[in-house]
Amino acid sequence: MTDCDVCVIGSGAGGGPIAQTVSAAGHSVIVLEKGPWLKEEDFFKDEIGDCKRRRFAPHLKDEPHSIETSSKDGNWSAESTERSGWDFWNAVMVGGGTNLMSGFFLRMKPTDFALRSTFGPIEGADIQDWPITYEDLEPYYAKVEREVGISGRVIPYPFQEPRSTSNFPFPPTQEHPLASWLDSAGPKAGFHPFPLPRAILSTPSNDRGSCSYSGYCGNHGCSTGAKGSSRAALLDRAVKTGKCDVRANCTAQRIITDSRGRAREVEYRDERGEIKNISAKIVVVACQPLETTRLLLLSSSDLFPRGLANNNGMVGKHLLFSAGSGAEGAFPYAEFSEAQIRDLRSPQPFINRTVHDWYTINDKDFGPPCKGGSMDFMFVHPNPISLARFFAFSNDEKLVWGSRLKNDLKRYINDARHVMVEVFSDWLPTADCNVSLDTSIKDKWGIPVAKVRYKKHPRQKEIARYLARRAGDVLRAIGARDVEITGSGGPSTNLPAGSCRFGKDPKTSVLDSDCRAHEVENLFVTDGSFMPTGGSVPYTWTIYANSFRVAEKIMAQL
Amino acid sequence: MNTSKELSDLHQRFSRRIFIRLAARGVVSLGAVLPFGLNTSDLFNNAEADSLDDLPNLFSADERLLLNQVQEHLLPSELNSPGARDVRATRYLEIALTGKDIDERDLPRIKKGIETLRVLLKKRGVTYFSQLTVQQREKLLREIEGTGNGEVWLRLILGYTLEAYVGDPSYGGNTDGIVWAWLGHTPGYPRPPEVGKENRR
Repeated sequence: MTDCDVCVIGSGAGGGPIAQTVSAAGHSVIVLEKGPWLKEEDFFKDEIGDCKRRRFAPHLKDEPHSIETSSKDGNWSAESTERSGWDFWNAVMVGGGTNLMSGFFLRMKPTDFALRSTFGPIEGADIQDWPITYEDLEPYYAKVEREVGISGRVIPYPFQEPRSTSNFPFPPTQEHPLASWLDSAGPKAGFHPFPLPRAILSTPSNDRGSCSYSGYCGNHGCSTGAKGSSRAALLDRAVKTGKCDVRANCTAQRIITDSRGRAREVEYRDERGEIKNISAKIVVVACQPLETTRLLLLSSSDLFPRGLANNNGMVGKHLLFSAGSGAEGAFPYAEFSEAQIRDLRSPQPFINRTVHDWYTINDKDFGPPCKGGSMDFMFVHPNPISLARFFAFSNDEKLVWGSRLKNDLKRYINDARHVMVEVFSDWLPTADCNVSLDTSIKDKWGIPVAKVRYKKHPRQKEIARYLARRAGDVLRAIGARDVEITGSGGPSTNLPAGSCRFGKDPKTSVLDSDCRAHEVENLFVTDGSFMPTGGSVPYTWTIYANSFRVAEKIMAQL
Repeated sequence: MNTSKELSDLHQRFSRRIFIRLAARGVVSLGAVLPFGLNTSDLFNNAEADSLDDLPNLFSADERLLLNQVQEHLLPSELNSPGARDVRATRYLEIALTGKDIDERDLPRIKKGIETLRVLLKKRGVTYFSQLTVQQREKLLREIEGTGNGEVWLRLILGYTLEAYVGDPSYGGNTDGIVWAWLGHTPGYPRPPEVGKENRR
């Protein structure tokens, strides 16, 4: 007799679908979530609280990670994120990062599941095909549209991935007039914009409200419940089944195995700091790649001396981030007609367009066909502190203050609309990008923290730069001035993936094609850790879809 | 060179939202820093017209005065635009530093910087920053910026001052949204409850 059928560690996009599906089928579930259970009434458009303080993340003094980078001479050195400036915590609360996402939801394309087969190997990168195909995951992409709530509009489009349904269950959210500028310019300039699906309700559904278009969306929680967070869309429903117990402020510390090497119990620290245990038939780990890896490595035993499910040494390898680049352009009011200015000044916050013409790059000047990426269009975040800090602190030579700072800020806000293009491309898995335990840096409970070793493959920088140039071309095609582009930055700390990749070969992967550990038959990993490659779109829809898929495998095993 | 704190800012919340700066425009106009026709001594003798009774007393009156003078130089009150004094930036700073999410190193760093400023002012034969001309103030702050610790100090002061300037008035700065009105900025809704009247984690 166990405390529950399934214990899920983590409540974001990887954990929510498991909890909702399994509890709806009548199985008992306990979800352990490190953070608090915030609800709609706790969310405000609060730049100071949400973005400048650590309202949604632990203090780095108490719970750092460590980051290991190499110098030009090839020497590696690690330091605590308390001092390095990096911060790999995103949103520690029930629902995780899905509470704060912008909800740009795109499916991966069929080629993303067979990157190596389609484009061949890249020297220095360990690219592997997925053990499942797009067709395997498609029904679950469709399920996410219904269960999480995705708004959008399907139009004839040359790069449309196959769909089992004709359209989205919710109409698109309201669009800024700039969307029509893109639609008009595209055919003439040789690109094909199409409506960007959003995990944001355009009409109320169940107990959730629709979008209020009230500004400050990304990086903030949603006070209407329109945003398709794992909490609002799935866990609230799971709890209503009476079979799902979400335990907030409870941090898993160790997974204990039995003499046969099966996961038996999860040891966790509750909100009072007391150590408790939950026994379960199946354990699901979904607490984001760094913490998932850390938990597995901390769960060593006689049968797993290198960490749980890590006798092959693959746990923590092939860490991914979301690669990419970007472009930004200005639309100065002084240079447009009155009608255009009315368009530009429209208060609608969403442009809701995406361009996939360079998802595969077929450009002889750039070399043989290769994987490219997607580009999404949005207004620069309106958060004024971040804007002001940018003008004050981003000058190469010295700080900016005084009248110049005030005038820079006022002009930026008053004289033009500023549009940015966010480019997503593939992060190439390499031996020099992984997660391990840092035994020299510990959290406030004396437990070793996760160490991220990070280095970018040079090819991904070339591709990101190529895509940024194309993004700049698109911006110019719709009339943007002062277009600037940037190549790939550092690791996107809010979008890690990989580290426990799934695959057919138990020697080179941690999980089988059902996301079950090769070495532990009742242990599953369902956050973004399972991904061998990350595609060139935001991960969240794929993580949700895969988690719904794995939920069925778990139920079949109960 | 970014400090850790600023890097953290950039990576933490805009890690994928690449934000490219437009070409720098405008020039520093130090000749226009005096607010509303006041002379220098009026300005600084009137520092923080609000009652100080509700302040947590992290700073002495003298420290508070120096901070106020520096903040007013960083974001001057001008004829057509509000400045640090108009948003009660020193008061904001003092309240903000009592927040539980604040880096506990910030207060000692700020205090140490004030002490250094005092020494530098003494070398120039004055007690207060406001006793220098506007040009001398600028020169002194740039000299401070040129030192490692000095830059960190200025980043801290400027960072908190910007929060007071364009942050939500519920936190105690940006009085009545005066800067939002000047900038033409529309905030998001719902706005956060006033500090002290909320149930933030």
